Amino acid sequence: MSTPPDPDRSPRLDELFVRYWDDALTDAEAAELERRLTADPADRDWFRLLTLQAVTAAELSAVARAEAAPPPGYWTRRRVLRYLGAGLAASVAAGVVGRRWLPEAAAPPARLALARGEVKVVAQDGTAVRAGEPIRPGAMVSTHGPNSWAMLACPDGTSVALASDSALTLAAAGRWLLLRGNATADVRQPAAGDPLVLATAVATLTGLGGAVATLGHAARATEVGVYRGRVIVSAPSGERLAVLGQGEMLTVGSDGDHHKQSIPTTPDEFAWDLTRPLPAGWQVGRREVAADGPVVRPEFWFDPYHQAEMSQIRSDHQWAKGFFRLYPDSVVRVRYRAEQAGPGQICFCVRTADTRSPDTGMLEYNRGFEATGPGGWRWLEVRAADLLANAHAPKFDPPWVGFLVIFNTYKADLGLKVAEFRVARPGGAGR
Amino acid sequence: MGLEPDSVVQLLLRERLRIVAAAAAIVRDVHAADDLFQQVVLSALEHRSRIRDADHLLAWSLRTARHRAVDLARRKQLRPLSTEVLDLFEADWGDPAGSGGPDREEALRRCVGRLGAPARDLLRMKYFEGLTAVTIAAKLRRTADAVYQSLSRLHRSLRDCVEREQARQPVAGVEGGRP
Repeated sequence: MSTPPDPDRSPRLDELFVRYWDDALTDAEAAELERRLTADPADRDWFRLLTLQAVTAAELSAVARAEAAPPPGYWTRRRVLRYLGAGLAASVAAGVVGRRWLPEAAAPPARLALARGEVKVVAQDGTAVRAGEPIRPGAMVSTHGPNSWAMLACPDGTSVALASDSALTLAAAGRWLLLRGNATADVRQPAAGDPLVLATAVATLTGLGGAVATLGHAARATEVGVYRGRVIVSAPSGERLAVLGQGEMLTVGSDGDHHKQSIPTTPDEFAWDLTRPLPAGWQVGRREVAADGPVVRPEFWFDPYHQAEMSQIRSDHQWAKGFFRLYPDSVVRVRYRAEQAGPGQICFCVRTADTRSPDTGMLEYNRGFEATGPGGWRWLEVRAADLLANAHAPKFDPPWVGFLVIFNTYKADLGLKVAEFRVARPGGAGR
Repeated sequence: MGLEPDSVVQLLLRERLRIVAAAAAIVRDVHAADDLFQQVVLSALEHRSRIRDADHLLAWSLRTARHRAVDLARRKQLRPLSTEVLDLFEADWGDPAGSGGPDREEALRRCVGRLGAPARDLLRMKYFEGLTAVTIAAKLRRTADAVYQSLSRLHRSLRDCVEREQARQPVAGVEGGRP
């Protein structure tokens, strides 16, 4: 510790800290906290010790709770983590105890049957698992890049397809944890028991025998879609959230909120409704209401694909529902304002019309943004067919179902404001 | 030549509290910070071929945890600390002396463990259950300001306790008496 705390320090920083933790600082208090943390290393040191107190208190509370009521019959993430690396569980203290998520089950070993693009299968000891070799508990399967995907197959014919930029870990035989991205399970009817359990940090799928289901997990939510059969969805606590039948989907938020609906048909025409707040799962970018109407502005965030902070707008992630269907003659129209011209792109992550297929691709507009005069707007209009000249263009026929929209001005803030985003087909109402 | 998976895990485990605390200081949610730590471990395992050594791993992990925490805080619409302050904190957390070392962490655990039931309950509600002062106040039939004051006092008493523990027990791992 570089600077010892001053024992005579006033209690003011403690007061600011507890209000900061609640996000309850007034503007003046926030400014005071900023000033103190910027100017005084001892205050920063004390603030860090306060944070350590909070973490330690939370972990000791969790330990006490877990010791009082151990969770029989379930896997804690602590146990799961044991499979991710030797000794890892020993240190993952109680912040994770009590989040039960996987009931016991038995299943035959899976193997990597098919792979495209960059696919990694890494065993618990860090060694690579080759195609065809059994995948043991503790292994992680990940796909990297827009056109990557992997198919895992079990001896009984059950398969799990992993879409692009996704990661799945085998917590135990037949128990898969989707860490990010999308997976589709096509599960054979077993003679008895659960042949496969699929889970994310917020939802667990059981009763998958005979079902075809998709599971998507992003930072804030899990989306489950059922295309055949019936699936039980539970919370990590074991509480049953829903039983989904064919044609139904469930969205589960990280706060446990969940919403069941029919899987809708993806429309050919689409527009952002900026008169309303951005959807709950919106990833990056903020809505502002200016004198001449609402806009979305980019924000800097760390883009894992580029491994750098970039100024972006990233919509919510709608794998199962999709936002819109694109055909070569579909037209994308964007009304924007930019304070300065510069490079930039608009990307559409697309999948096939069949959500069960892991195939994905990108449609990209890469010609940047032009500066507009004060108060001016510029319309950008481009056909989907003109967005295919990129390395990640879909290798499947249209319709291409857009499930994620990204505006990217790379490392520059061009002062971009997007007022309208529309997709339409010629003659449609969206034009 | 990257680090071996076991080394990555062991090194990150050793620095776990520091990384979780660095993330928690931004997201103000210990469970979320713990999730972020796990994501950092998985990501480090995936990217270990690019990580040169232990120092690089710690710096990389703190940077990754910070970015992910900032993203999460933004999505939760929390009022952020400035980039300047976050830069200073990142440097502080990356300091080899870190969170004060195992002595200080152990002293902190002992001090929290010795708190009376009402104090432990208050900390549990605030930092384990993640309740706001307003919610805690409603449960305890007190005002939110009174809860804030109680928490402030508790933090101060823990600081005093840790300092006494460290002054009394310079050798790590030696169980101390009641302060």
